[in-house]
Amino acid sequence: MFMSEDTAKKLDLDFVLDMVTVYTPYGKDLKKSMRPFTRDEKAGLMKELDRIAKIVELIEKQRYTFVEMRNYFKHMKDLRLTFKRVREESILSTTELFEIKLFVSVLNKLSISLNKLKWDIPDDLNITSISYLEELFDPQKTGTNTFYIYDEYSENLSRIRKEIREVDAEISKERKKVKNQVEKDLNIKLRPNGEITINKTNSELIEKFRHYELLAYGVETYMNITFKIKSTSRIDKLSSKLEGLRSLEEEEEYKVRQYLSREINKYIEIIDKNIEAIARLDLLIAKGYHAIGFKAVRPEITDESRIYIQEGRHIKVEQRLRQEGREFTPITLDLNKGVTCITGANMGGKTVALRLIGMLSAMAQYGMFVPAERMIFSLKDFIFFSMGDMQSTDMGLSTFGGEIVKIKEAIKRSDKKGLILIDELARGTNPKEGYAISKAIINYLREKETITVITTHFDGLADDQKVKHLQVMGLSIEDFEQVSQPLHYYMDYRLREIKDVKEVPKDAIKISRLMGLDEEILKNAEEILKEGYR
Amino acid sequence: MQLLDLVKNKYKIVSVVGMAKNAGKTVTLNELILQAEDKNINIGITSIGRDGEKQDIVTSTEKPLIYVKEGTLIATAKETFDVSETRMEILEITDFRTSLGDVVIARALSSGYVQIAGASTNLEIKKTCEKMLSYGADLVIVDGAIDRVSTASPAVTEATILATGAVISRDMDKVIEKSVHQVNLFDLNKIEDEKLKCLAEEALEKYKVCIVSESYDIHCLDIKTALSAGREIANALEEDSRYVLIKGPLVSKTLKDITTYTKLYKNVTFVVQDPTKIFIDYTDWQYYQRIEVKIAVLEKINILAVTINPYSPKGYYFDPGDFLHKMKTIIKSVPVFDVMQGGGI
Repeated sequence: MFMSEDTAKKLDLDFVLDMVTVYTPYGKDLKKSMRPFTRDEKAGLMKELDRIAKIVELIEKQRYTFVEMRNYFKHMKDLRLTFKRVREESILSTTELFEIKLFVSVLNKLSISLNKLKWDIPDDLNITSISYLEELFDPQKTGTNTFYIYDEYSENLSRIRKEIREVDAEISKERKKVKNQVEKDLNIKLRPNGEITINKTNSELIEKFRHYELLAYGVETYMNITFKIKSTSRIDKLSSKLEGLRSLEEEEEYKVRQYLSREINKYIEIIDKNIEAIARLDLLIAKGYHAIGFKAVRPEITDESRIYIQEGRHIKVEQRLRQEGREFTPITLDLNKGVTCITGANMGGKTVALRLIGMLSAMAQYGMFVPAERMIFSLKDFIFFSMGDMQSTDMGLSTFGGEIVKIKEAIKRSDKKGLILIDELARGTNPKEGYAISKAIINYLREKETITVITTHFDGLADDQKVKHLQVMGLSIEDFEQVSQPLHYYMDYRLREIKDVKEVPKDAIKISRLMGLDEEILKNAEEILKEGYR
Repeated sequence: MQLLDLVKNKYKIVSVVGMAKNAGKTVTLNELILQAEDKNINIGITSIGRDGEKQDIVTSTEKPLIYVKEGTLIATAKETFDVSETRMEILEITDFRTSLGDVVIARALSSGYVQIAGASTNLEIKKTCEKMLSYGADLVIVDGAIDRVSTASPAVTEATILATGAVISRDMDKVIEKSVHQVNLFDLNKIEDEKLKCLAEEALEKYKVCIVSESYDIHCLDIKTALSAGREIANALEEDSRYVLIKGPLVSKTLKDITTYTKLYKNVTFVVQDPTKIFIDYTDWQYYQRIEVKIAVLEKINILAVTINPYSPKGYYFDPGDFLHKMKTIIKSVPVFDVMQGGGI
């Protein structure tokens, strides 16, 4: 497993993928099946990244064509069930045929758009129009996007329909004739459908109507009687003829639908190939827009275990900050196999740095561009992320126990080329033991193939030449009288590498002072700090 | 005067709603269609569908059979479209999903009977109507409903015809009373305050009940059941509360609970989406008027006419002349027609 569901969730993979906007049902399915490239799929990943680079270049040059294509995508319906029915030689309904007509016409439009791009398009992304089917669905050559079972499909059908129209017209003519006669004879006005309703109290009129030969007694309610124009024997004859013609028409339409369904089946393989190409194109274009939108770059792949990120941004945190009118401070770091510790005060962005490493690594391995100025990375067998759960009120042994259970699993795989990210290692237990266990875990992991990054409060953990130590720059203010903004305005979230083990962190005391903690206490704390390092 | 004369050249989207099943809605609908066809007016027909996957709702409600002529546009769900015997040209299959499939817009190429089951949300119905107009309909007729199962409302149409009839009660006075009450509800005060309207639209997307204060502060309630709604609203009312926005139906019990538990209701106006969401009978309504309960709507219903059906399938009837006369005397704001009577109306 590349990463657990828990790790994916904590690295905000859902957020990243939600921003990859695909429009077609086919693209949506392909996106759902996205998985990271494995270590031996380097060539595949390179190819995918090349494609994104190409599509980004094309989008930037010919944005309008892409707007056009995505507009076609937006209106695509999922016809896979219909095509499955075609393959099973089922007879399609008129609505299904209509949808295939639209599909075929969109294929043509998409292929025209693709041609406009002047792109030497890879075969598995190419869309081929099917002119035979286009013509088949437009026998009147009108170019309209509507559909019915056209007369042109069958001479028989055309003849039957002509006859239906004639008989229909004759019935109307006959009816009208009778209606006019009735209205004239009785000096009344009939409803357009040839009915008239009379109140029973009007017995004189009822009597008259009853004996009138062209009217028939229709429905009777408690108060009213409805009379209808009597159908003449000629109308009866015509009506039964019409009935017969109608069922002939239905039979003939069925034959036409059968014929059309079979014709579609002949092209089913091209259709399937097109659907796959649409899915790939949709997703690829979505990745391209994603890259442009987040100002992301193509990650470079190296074979040695390394993660180099220059000016990387955590896009979810960045978005949230932007809503508050703040900017994300990009982070630069270079990680190799073995252990790196990140230290720094609370609220200093250690956790964000850790999440950023995980998110960008995952994005790269999923075949996406990454939000940074530059990134060099090696393909990983797994990513593991353990986050000290800030929300948890229970910071006792159970939290610690849960953490250890997960870390144990990660350690098992540390001989592989992986990425282990641990936030606030052993924070859930007492400091003395926590320190000891942390130190031991670091000692174990520092010689391994896997890249491990640990954020910690325990300063001494990083006092090891074999462990890389990164520290958050921290508060950039010295004069506390000047503080007028919320604290985070003075935070420098960038990381610097600490080579001198003896350097003393001071942010916690600085923050306490800013927050107005008693000066006597602070003085004492500073003394204790000095003693501790002596 | 014909029913159509009230519509022609004035409105493009008109709905017909029935106060109850068998109140004569289908007769009114067909009459309107016939008159339009007679005048060579190109019409489009759709209906307000019921949402929800519940099969019983779909199958048990009436989907009137409508006779259409060549050229008429219809918008109906795929399943009803596929079984229609009339030859039709498909113009578009929309994304409007219903439990009977997506809504299809088609043009009749021959005359015949069709069953209509349209979209089920306000926005989709509006869009359906506009699409039919753009495909060439001069007038779109929407078969509407007043019931609690529909979320969509005839308020999306430009004008509405109300069908009422003897089926409502054996007592003619009661029928008249209820019908007049409905007509009056249609004419309820509309909220004109644009700021409040915007607030309401946004808030009611997510919440069932929101309380707005004098200074437009909004407080939304997470109401669990309709049963307890009144009490919860009463508890949440403050001195400076001015509006109570209610999504969905407003029933008598809710109002009763509110007025029992707090006196602060006198300061507020209860606002519902449109008049078809109010389910308070005439007697209760009078009581609430007396104790100064204020109710307003976000969308009014423009009522054009009332049609009456003096017969009830339950086996009784009113004297048609008497019924029509009484209705006409009491309902003065709009014309009343007896659709069952005579040739033409």
